[in-house]
Amino acid sequence: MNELIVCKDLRFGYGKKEVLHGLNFTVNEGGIVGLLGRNGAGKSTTINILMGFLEQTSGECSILGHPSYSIPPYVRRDIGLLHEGFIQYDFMSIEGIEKYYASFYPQWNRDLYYDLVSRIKVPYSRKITRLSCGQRSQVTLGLILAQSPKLMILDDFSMGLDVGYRRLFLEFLRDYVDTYKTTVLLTSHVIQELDSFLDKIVFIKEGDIIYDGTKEAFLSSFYAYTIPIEESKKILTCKEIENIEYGNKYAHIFGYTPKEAMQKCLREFGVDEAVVLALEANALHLEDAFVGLTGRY
Amino acid sequence: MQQIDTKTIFSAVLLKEWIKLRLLVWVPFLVLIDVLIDVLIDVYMRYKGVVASHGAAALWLDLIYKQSIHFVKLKWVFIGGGIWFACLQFLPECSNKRLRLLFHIPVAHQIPMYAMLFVGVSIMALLFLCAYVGLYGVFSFFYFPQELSSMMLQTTLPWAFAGLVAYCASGAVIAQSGVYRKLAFVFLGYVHVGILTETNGFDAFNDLGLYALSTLAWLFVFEAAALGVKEGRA
Repeated sequence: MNELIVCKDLRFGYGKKEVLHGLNFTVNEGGIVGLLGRNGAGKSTTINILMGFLEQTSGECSILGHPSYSIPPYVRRDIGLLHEGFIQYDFMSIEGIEKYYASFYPQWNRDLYYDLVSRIKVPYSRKITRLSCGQRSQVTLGLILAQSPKLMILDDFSMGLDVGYRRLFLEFLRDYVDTYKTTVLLTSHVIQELDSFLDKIVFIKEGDIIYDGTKEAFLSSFYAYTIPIEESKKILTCKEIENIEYGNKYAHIFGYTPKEAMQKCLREFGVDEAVVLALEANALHLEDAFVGLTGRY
Repeated sequence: MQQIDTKTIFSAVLLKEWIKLRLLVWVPFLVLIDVLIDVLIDVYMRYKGVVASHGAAALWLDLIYKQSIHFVKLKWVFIGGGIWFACLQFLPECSNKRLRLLFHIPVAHQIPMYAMLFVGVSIMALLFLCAYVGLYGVFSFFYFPQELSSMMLQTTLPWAFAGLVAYCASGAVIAQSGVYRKLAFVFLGYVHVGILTETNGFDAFNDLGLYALSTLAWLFVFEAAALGVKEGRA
């Protein structure tokens, strides 16, 4: 399978402060990959390196076989970029911007663009600056899809979108990916809608990759348990536990340890036997698991 | 692989520039008309007064020996026009990290960048041409001899270069994301414009070629400033 994005021991720092500590991940051809992490985790820095706006301090980062910092112009035709905040030439009209970009892409799919923008029900002569954030997202997505790229990099596509536009965006993207077999790497703060959408996830925390694999594999191997807060204080040094989140009366413990092994671990740390016996793994959605792995604070 | 011809790319850039400029590009031209009318009236009243109170000899003394420049306001049209056109072109292009879009289109970034500058410089040239023709009309109105008109018109050439410097420096200031580099461009632009507009007599510049070359260097400054986006400072 072709590797469209390869990052090997990718390091980057702002001044003396290193913010990416040797990331390793690949994005293979086909499917939708989510690069997910909390604010300040290093997502934007990684995306900026991938987009060629930052150059890594060390390590390797290549896109479609070329170093990301110096992608030849003809290769850029195959890469669709969604810049954070749906940055576009907003002084142009819906039809004007289509005409502009069409000149640069030989495989421009005009029908696809107008199919998407016709749904926002505004005249094509309207300037992008006069559109709402949701409407602008449709225009921007339309421009990327019409480009017919092999790879799309979507930086924080959910920013500023309400739930309706988020779903519309994802639905259109899914259909497009299924039809044209395009590969997508996206980042988002909103994990909720991505549950049934991503084929692969890369979790990033404080500049390190903490999970890289399929969503199914992650959800079937990551567990959450609930125990009383007093009991949780006994297990703070337990290596089997990835994270503990505290509620009012109960603590939620997260880790890759299945029930029996976790019970054994709790017994070793002197947790009350009644609590150990009552231990049950909670069903997790992607968002719960994400919070469980990366923490609330 | 399908190729895109340069003509198509240039047409696309022209379309974008036209959209940015079309509403407000006329302002410096309107200001120019106003200034030319003002110069005409001012020169007429001044010369009429000089001839009435001191005679025609005093007027020739003023023109030939003192070389008083009564159309100095024109330099501000060029400088202001340069800043105005730069704002119209580069503020929508560079603000809100929008310059990133230019660096991702699938052609060498120099092509759209210098096409934009070409448009700006062409409009500046048109503004200068209009000023030149207008000023020639004013001088013709007073039946100035060719030798005098020619010297007076050549006085405005360095001002046109100053307008270009103002245009390029403003573009670089807008494209640049770092505050200190912005200030450096402001300072360098200010000094260069100052040198080019420091005129005490007609056609005072003997080194126009040198000044033209120094102005030409500013065309590359915009690219240097814009590359800050690639260096991750934006």
